[in-house]
Amino acid sequence: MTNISNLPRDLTEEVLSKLPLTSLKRVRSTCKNWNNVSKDRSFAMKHLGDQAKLAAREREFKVVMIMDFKVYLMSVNLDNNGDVESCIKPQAKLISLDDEVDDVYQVFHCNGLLLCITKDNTRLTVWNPYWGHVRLIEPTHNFHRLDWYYHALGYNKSSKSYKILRFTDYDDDDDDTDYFVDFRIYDFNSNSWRVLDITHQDWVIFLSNHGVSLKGNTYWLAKDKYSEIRITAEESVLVCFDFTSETFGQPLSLPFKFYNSILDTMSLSIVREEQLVLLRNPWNTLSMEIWVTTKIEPNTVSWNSKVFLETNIIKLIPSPSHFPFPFTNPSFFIDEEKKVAVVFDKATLSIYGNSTCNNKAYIFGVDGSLEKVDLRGVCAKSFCYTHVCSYVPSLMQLNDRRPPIKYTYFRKRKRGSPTDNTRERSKQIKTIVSPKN
Amino acid sequence: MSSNMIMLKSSDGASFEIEEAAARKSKIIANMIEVECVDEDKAIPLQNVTGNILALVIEYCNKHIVDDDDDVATEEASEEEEEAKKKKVDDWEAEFMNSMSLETMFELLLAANYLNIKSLIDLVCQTIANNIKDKTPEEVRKIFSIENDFTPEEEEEIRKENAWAFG
Repeated sequence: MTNISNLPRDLTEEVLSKLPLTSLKRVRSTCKNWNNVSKDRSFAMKHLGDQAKLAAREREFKVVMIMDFKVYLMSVNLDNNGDVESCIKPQAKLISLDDEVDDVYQVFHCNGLLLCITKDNTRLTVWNPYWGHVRLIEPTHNFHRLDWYYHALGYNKSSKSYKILRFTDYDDDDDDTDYFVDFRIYDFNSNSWRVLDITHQDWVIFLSNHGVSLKGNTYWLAKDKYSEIRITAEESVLVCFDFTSETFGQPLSLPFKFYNSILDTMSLSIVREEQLVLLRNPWNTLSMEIWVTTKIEPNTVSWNSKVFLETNIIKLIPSPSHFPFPFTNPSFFIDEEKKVAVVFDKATLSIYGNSTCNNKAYIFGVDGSLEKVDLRGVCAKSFCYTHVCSYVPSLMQLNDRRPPIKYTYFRKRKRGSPTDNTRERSKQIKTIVSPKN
Repeated sequence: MSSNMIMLKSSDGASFEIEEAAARKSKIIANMIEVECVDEDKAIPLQNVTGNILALVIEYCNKHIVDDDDDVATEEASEEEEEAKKKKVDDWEAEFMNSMSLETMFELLLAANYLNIKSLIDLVCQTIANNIKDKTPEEVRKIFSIENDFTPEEEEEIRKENAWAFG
């Protein structure tokens, strides 16, 4: 009798390559033959190619999204005319062994690898969802719960070795003595952190701004540290960390010259894994503009002179008080072919003092249209902002199969001068594994 | 379009008459026609395909030859018409696949592979994959009579290898 088990190898591969990424773990757990086929590199290349063709035919793409500290793989199909709710759908969420992971605060994508950072800032995990492999990165030091660190994942263009940048650049405007910098880089080849010789920059990255990864490097929005008018208006710039030279490039200009209020929101995204996209939403005019670069490198930028999308939210919505404008912490992507921008934020609705919030996607059309998609029902965790990043699967190997540690605790660190801290920190790298609390 | 008819003969001796254009969906038969080793009066023997499976292959080829004709006739069709046509084909294919048992499906896949009909291989594989994709390993093993050949230690190893997953 003809059965799936006695098909020739090439036909087994044909069948398995029609399965989505989210079925891979179950395929590998079914039988030895399927496990062996799915781990074969030539099959994996065929599988990714077939899945990419299928996605192109269905005009669908994937993004990774954090909602309420959980990591979701979402499928996006902006072709679903008339059925807005099914434009953006969660396909699956991150499961660690058998448990749902619900403490991820940030996720960062670079070439098919996802860097996941927990909300207590203590666990860094790099994950390739294609293979299911994870690599745990030993933290740099003991964290204080209020520490704010920026993270980025990138790679050296010549050696293709992956690295994580982790830094803080704290500068209190009112007090020149309260200054603290710490730049460190983790190299996947050496499996260790080292301190980077970066002491002082003329810019400071906007607080809570996510960096975006493009061709192995990371870009952030920053403000000039020495602007003459310090508190209410700063000149904004773009900065890039080049993972090959391990240095920051020159501050790059934005597509407009303006004085940016600290109340305005700006956010970065990428398109086609090729160009940077900038969203600006000034707090006082309720307008929104989105710009796209035509050339972007660590030390060079040129912006398309024509704005991609410009919209006046007051005209779109009769009562903007029901919307979170200006966006508090927007995360977004654009689709050039469909001429839309999809912006994610929370809609906070106050009813008799009880505040509830929903994860929402707002689909802005270049033609001035606006549609809303409710991603989940009411959620209680108002402090977790929805964050989205692109995701393109790759076959990068992590070569580290230690299972994830569930919970990690650290001793408190002392605050002091930058040099003291650096020395102190390197001594304090110590991880204590503790049972689930 | 040529309306030459050719004869195909299954392994169990059943003969089928088919339009040459439809038969050309099979790369193997198309090659035979190209090198003129097809005798007009003689049926092409297909030793690896039984009559009931060959009937399905011919049904598929006939359906798709009509679609190819449509493609030529409506080159300037609007996007809506294209969509409607695609939906019609999808519906026919879904119905076609729905009408057969799993065992028939695998025999059809082997026949499509032997005759080298890429679109039919894709259709059958996608249908089998749709039967797998949302099911647990236990369910998949039961449906397809697959033996669980892992030891408990190997099962644990695979669980660890796939430590994090979108599930």
